[in-house]
Amino acid sequence: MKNIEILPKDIWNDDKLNKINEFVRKHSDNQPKERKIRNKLLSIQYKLEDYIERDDIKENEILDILDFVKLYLKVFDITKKDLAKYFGMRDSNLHKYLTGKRKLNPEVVLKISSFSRTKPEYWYRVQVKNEIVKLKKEDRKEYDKYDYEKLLSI
Amino acid sequence: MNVKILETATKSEIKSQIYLVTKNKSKLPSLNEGWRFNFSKHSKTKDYETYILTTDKTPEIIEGCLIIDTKSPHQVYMAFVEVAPHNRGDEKRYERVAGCLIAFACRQSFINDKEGCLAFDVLEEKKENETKLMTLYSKRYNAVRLDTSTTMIILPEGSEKLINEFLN
Repeated sequence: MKNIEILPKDIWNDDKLNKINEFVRKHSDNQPKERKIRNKLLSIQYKLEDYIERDDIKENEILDILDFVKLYLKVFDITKKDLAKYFGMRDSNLHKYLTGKRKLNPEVVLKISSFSRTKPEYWYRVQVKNEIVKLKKEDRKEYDKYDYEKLLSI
Repeated sequence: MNVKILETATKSEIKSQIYLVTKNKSKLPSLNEGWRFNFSKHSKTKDYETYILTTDKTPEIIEGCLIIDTKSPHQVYMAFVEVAPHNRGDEKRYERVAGCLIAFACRQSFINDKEGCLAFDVLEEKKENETKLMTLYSKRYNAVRLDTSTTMIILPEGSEKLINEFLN
């Protein structure tokens, strides 16, 4: 039987797009506030997951924990200072954790994780990923000598 | 992204990947290989993003293919989705390929700040097949029909459920 392919141009037109837009917009407007927040939180969570999963991040593409936290602050319309107060910390102290100047500890991680409703390990993984990306490729070669095969050949 | 599909014969989970195709688009499936859509041709359309699903075991074999348009103002439009001919019917090699690709499209909708809304059209030569397919999309993939048209939409709640079922 010959394949008859249906093309988007056969079914797609401005009138249809307008109808869909109108339907989705109406549905979006009528969603409860909790659902609207949930949609935005999921969007950030998936971006975070994709960042963690990527293994081709270059140094100029590094995103600090602060970059992700800023997205959450925008959703809740609060400042970093407000968040620091909420966490019972000084703003300058929180800033150091979020920008990688200070290593994360379980207490800070659990606070961020609870605030953003994400898994605690995500935040550690962002930290570790960024540290490894910052370690230049040439420097990483230094560690090749620790390959177990070299140990076995001694 | 990493996903798991099911091997029909053994019912075992098979590690797989969905990834964006940016090079060698000419090597994508086309009509003469038993596929219904010419992915090789459509993938070159402006604003279209093409993704393929392959297993880690046989990365050279395409198990399913997806083309989405993320530029629509309020939703992502799923222009084409299809599983490989060997993943269709009673003798299919793998299950969950379509579910993973549709859930992936829903996830792209959230990422692109479209609240998980995913629109698509269901078109078949015979009206009865179209109705059957729409019922399947409605039951299996939480889609709702737009009026009496051929367009269906997966809304945020339905999208989130699919992502949890197929991608997590």
